[in-house]
Amino acid sequence: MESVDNMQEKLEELSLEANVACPVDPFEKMRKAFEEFKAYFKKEKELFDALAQSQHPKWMIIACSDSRVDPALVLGLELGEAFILRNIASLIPPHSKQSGHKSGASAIEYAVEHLKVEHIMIVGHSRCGGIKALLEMKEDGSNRFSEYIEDWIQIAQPASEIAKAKVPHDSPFEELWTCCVKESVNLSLRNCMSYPFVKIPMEKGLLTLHGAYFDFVNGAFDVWKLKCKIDEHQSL
Amino acid sequence: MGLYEKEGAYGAVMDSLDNLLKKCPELKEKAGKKLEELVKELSLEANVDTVKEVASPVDPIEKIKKGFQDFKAYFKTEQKLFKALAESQHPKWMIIACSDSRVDPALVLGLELGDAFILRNISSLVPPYSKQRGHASAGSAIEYAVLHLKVEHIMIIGHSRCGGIKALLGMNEDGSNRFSEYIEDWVEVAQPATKIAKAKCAHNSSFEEQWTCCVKESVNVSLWNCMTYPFVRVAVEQGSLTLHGAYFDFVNGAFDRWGLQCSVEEPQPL
Repeated sequence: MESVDNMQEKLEELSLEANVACPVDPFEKMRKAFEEFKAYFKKEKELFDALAQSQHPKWMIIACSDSRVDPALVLGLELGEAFILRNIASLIPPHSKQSGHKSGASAIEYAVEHLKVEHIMIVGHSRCGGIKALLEMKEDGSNRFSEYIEDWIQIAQPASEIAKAKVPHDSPFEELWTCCVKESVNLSLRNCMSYPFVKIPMEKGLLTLHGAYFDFVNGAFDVWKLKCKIDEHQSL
Repeated sequence: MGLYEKEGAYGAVMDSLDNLLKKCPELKEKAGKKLEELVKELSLEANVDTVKEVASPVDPIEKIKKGFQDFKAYFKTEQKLFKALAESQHPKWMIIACSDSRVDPALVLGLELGDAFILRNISSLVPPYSKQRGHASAGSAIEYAVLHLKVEHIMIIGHSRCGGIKALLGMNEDGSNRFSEYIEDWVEVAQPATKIAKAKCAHNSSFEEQWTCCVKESVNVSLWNCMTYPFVRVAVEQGSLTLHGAYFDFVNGAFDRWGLQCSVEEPQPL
């Protein structure tokens, strides 16, 4: 037992010495990768000359900030293809004149009115920490733990209620969690539609809204469309 | 001097054609038809297929379907990595980048899943800490990254030809040329950067120079705003968190970065 402890100590000492002797350069990996990017940049001159002038992405993608759900890596996107908004739990608040939440609204306004994207996709994902925190929040705020996080994820509060109603009480937490993430995506899609500048092109067939769920536990990606149609008015 | 002056006999003919068509533009259609015939004839000789393939527009949904198939193959080969990621994430980086489709940090910096917690909005802005908490999107992401994920670095990346900063530079102070519902309210977060950039740039500098300068100053404004969050300040002063600014230039293919040095000296008696 003693020798194991000694070895542990020695290992720690050596590791400390190593860190001091050769401190890890946080930029080393990025530097190498950017050299590769530069080579690609030189090769694809036509593409980058065009991109330097303007961007014409067909997609707007709204995804969680979670390090495990990068849309470009998961969906094989290339530069210029998607205008991307990322925040905790990929939330979109509803349209509101009072709203303090301008980051999402401004991005959607720019994507739809100026870039004229053809598709908006909101991607929820497995094991979302933001949605977990939402499910654990007490109504009276008695277990509040953050300065900003709960104020933000509160946007998805209705999704928490819907999920709790849909999923049987005795189901494992994972099921409630998954359901709540998907309902949160649906809520954000409906909130998207509350912006006139989204609603109008949608009704004209120029813009399609998609929900998605990326499951990095099982390696799956499901998508669904939000369809909204108002029938022709008919006389009684 | 003609366009083709240096290209011998071919050049001479092309130059005279140019001149003729300048004088008699009504002949362009006829010239075009004759030239088309000539190209076909020569291509047959050279065995080159000139029928331009009308690039069938790629269905954006089909493209991401294929993209995900590639990812699934990768997912199957990296079982160990994904089992670990399924349990938890431990990114060392938080990256704040613009939503612009041309500046994806994962593609530009070769990031892998699990490397970086990423916030993206127009112009990669971070509003200052506020009890009113109107701008919770950035505050919540930074709070989560610093206090829960305990990232070691935050990097804010500005970029060339940023539309948000361009809109900011074009805003009249009295709001008389307002064009949006939300965009201007958002980019206003970087308002101090326009004043700084206008002061720093020489009066006769080009718009491109002012634009570039303003993007970099906007990154600095956001870095300073980051420091107004108590949980960031404490971590920076303890040495467990470092802040970085960066400028990605996709016109020239360059990536510059800089650190934010921040320290408060020990109080000393007068």
